Amino acid sequence: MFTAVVKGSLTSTIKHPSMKGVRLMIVQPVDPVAGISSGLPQIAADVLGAGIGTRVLVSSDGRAAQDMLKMDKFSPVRLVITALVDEAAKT
Amino acid sequence: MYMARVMGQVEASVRAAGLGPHRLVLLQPLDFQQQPIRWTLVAIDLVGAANGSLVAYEEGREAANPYDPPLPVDACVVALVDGYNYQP
Amino acid sequence: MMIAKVVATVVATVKDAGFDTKKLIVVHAHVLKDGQLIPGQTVVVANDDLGAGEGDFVLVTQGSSARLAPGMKNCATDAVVIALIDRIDANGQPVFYKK
Repeated sequence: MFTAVVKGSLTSTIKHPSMKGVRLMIVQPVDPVAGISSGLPQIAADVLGAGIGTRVLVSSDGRAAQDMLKMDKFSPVRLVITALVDEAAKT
Repeated sequence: MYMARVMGQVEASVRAAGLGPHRLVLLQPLDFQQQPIRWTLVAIDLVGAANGSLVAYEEGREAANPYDPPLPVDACVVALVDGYNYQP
Repeated sequence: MMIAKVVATVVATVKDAGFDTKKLIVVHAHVLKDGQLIPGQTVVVANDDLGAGEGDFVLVTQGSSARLAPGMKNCATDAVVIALIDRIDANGQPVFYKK
């Protein structure tokens, strides 16, 4: 899993059927504590209602995506927003 | 998923039995300012992506999922991108 | 998948039982840059059941998907040749074709 900031959204009409009705968000990975960008922006599925600027937790496990999005095992979706982050701090 | 542009295609007549006749497309991954990122790669095409179109592709074991039995592939085009909004 | 050129073969006598009778080859990744197919930075060892020869361009699946190729289920591999490339077109131009 990694933390990221939502930077936008993407629309697609023709897509794998498992992605029907699923929002596709552009997520920029960020270091959870320092808050600086730490990789390339990617596209993640979202059912939690993340908006632009929201800090999120993204899972890269396809099984997690299938569970959260109620998809069957034929879905190719891998990245899914699993949480909206309130706070990350050094302990 | 990453976004990419379809640059062309790969033709191969000798294929592993599990691969089937699926179209193979050559992709250039892009960031959301449409600058090239990463290296080009080849993916199977699930959605009928034309040359030059913007697509989203998935990588890894999940790319093999849409077929039963799963195909021996590590990348597949899963969506045609109609548009996006991006606020860097 | 990556486009790769076969550059060598690997022979190993002591190996995991899953590798028995499986051919191992060394492949050098190639990428498209500025409209040309050029050598990339990755060199890997891959399993090959399709009879790829030195100099051939092949398509290689990496990661856990590699085991989905026929006969690879019980092989401890993470890279398999899934096709021998005849031709690659980019921007409407052939950038590779098998002679």
